[in-house]
Amino acid sequence: MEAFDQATQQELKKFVEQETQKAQMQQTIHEFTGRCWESCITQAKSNQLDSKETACLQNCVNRFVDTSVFIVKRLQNIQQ
Amino acid sequence: MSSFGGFNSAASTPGVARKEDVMQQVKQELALANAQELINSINKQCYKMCIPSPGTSLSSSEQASLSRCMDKYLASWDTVSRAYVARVTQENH
Repeated sequence: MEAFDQATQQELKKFVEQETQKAQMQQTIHEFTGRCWESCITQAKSNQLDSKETACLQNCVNRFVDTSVFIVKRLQNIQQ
Repeated sequence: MSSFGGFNSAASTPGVARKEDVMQQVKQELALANAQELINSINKQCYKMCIPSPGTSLSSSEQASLSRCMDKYLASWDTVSRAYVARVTQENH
């Protein structure tokens, strides 16, 4: 990046890092959406989510995160 | 370096304008990748839901189902996104 001065290079580096982080977050959300869609949405009789489906999606996200936390904690316990 | 996808800014104030161009291009490419991922997911999930036994063409009822499924998938993405961001924010406090 020789066309840019030092300060601009730093700024661009930071910008790309931030954008990469955003992209990773979006990727995770894609994965969750696919996974939770499969466990919560069985039909599309309407084009909107009903309250049960919305609650199921929210629970799915939270229980998946819980599972991840649980597994890490359990592994730490086993190691001790 | 001139190889950011061969991007050329015609009337460029050196440094300033080109930096904005690079940022703009990074944003656009990531937005495109994000949209492609979403389209692929919708294609996969809604095909599965709406076309259980594929015929010689898309019937009007299949098309209607695809439309509803697509709206629903987008709404699901939104719901999941909010739930995930809320959880991550909560975990970090």
